Amino acid sequence: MSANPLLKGTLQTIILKLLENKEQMYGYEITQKVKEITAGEIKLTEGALYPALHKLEAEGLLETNIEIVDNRVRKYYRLTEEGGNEVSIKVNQTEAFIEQLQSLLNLKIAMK
Amino acid sequence: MKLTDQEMSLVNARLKKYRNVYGDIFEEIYDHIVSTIETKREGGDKRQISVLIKEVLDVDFGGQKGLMMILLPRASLIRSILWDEFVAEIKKDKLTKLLCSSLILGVSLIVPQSSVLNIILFVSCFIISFLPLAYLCYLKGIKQVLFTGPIALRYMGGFALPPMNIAVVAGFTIKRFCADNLQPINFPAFLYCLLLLCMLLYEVSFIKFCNQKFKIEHA
Repeated sequence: MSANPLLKGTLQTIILKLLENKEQMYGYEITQKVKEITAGEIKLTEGALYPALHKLEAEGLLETNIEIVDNRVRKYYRLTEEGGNEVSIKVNQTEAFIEQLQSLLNLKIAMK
Repeated sequence: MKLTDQEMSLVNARLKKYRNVYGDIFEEIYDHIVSTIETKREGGDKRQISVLIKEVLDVDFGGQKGLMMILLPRASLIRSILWDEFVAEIKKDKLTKLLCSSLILGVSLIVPQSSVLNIILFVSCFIISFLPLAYLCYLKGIKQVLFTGPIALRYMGGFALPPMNIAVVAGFTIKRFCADNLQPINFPAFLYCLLLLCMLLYEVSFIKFCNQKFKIEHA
């Protein structure tokens, strides 16, 4: 399990995609979901997750909702309408990037 | 497995030792730490709470350095939102504001210099400088904002201070250290009116920022 530096550019897409599939999630829940989906291969670091969440909130792609759970404040994030529209755009951009990256990497292998 | 009240108090106290952890970040990190420890306990981890807290803070959050990675961008983001709100407030109804400001500043240029007028304007600046803090107290209660409330509120209270500082700096400090002709009582009324207008704009934007923030944050 590692905090993959390659994740940096796709972190926002991952967060938006996870929230598209669930009405609302809190920070810790997001880290656990990523861990579960990737069978522990990818770990979102807290130092990267929260700034990304706060930035998405400031950009109006996420909105927050505070609930009191087990005597403590829990901040839930959910997609705004704008955020919902942004998910498919970001996913398409990431897929296109992965395809281009694959072509590049295959080319390098072929050149050897 | 849920933590006991005593264990939760220990987490709270431990996190408070990181003096820079303020604002809504505190509640978020606190919930994250407690949730992580609860999951560990559910997985059969029977280590002492102090060991678990240290592990989560040092390993998961990366200690002080890791926490700063969360805090610094957040503080910068809040400053940037507040600044955007201020700029938006300046741009809103630009023509009306420009006309009113020009009128006030124009009148201030032609009125005869008077120490009574200066005192009135200075006192107005000073009273107006307390508006954001008063508004925050009105929204959340004096005790919560200044003493016992979530750190978020005290952090917001801190944002209300700059206009007060301006008023104080423009007044008493200069009065004490400058020559007679530079004392606030001898300033042109124009300067006070300009300060008053800037403060009003800042404070309206701050109040709007508070409304936006506490609409969703009712903790």
